[in-house]
Amino acid sequence: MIVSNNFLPRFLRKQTQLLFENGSILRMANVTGPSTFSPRSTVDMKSANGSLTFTRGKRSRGGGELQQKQKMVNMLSLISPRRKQPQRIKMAYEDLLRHRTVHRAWQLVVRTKRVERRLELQKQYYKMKHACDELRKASQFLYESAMERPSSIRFPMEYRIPTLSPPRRIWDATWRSPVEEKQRRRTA
Amino acid sequence: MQDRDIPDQKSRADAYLASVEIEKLRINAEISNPEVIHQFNSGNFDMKFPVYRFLAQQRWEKNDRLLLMDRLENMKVIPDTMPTLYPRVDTKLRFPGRSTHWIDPGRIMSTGVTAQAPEFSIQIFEDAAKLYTIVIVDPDTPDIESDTYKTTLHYILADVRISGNEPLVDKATARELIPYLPPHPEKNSGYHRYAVWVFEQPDGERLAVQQRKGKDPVNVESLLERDRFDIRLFRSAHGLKAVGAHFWRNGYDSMTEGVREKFGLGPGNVYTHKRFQHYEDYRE
Repeated sequence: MIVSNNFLPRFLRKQTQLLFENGSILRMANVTGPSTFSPRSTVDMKSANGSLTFTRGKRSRGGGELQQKQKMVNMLSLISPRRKQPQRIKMAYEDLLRHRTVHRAWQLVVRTKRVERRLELQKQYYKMKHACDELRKASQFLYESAMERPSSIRFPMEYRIPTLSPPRRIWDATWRSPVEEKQRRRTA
Repeated sequence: MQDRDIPDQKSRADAYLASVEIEKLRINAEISNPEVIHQFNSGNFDMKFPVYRFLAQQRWEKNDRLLLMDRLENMKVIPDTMPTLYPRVDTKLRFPGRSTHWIDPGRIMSTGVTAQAPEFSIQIFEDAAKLYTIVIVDPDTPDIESDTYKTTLHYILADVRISGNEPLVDKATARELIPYLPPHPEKNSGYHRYAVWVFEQPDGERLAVQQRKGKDPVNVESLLERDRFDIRLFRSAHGLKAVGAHFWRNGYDSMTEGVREKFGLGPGNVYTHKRFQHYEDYRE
């Protein structure tokens, strides 16, 4: 992932290295200007959009840009298969033969169970399907009422789960629900 | 039970499918046995058992077959000689000399080494013994009159008897239609590919031209012409089936003149070593 300098304001543009997808070391990163390192408050310069937000949180030495990049790197490394493959089997020749026999036997057991389970599920599914088809032929009204599903909505997505300590950003006056936002955009 | 005893095509197909099923069962009966695997790995097994045939084929398919097809396609041996290949046998090739290893396909050899006729090994994965034909051609001989390349014939060995347990080609029992002509590439004509094609003879009979009904009669003399050889016509005229291939490469080197002298092949052309693509433009 190559992160370009161009979206940074000129006074913050400094030498950055390439960012590798395998999550390797984040080389030199942008160092922001002097900031007060008091634990209570940190001026978090969000230079990308130019707005300043005063947030209560841990001190950040590298600044917001570096943290964002590191987060991206972490997320990418979670997705990629690097260093997450199973280990190569290292065994003596005789042990390998024994392993092969045991492995094949176990795979056979697993395969039998899997095939049996699949067949069972298939039978159940087709029984249900044929029953529904027959119901549809018998009565459309009964079929449709049988196909109704209960609403899966329980709580709104935006509701906050209560936590022990308060959030970093306590109140966002500018937040609008997605529905409201859409309506606002449509009328504006 | 011969296939020819069953007159009906459907019954023949059914019999074939049944035999395939039986072979599968025979393989499955033995394949889990570690003793069998050990015998295979240590090399003391008989190809009459379906398990070992299966394991040998599996081993070949995993690596050597892939390598062969990769080389044949990348070096464009496949469209330049025969149109394509569905490999059925494991073909191996080596030249007698000091260090006799089976060469990997497409290897650049010295003309001194290739002056001797090569040794072949054809590993089949079936029980029956069959007859095979080996043909060596060079598709890269310059044809100055037509400003293109032509195919030269270097070797034909027919009626090679091969069985599963005896893969090495025994030239004494075979019939050498065309004696071996050593590679003698001309200077600055680049690397020539020497393709070895292994054909299966129909019905295990001796190699003979099959005159087809309804098609033009084939001129037998013109088929085996060394200078301008048409391998596709050769294959179709004799009713052969391409089951294996291999190739090596030769370029003009320090031993080529010696080979020409020894075998009386004449001096050979020397082509210009082209340095620039459009030399004419540069000159002006």
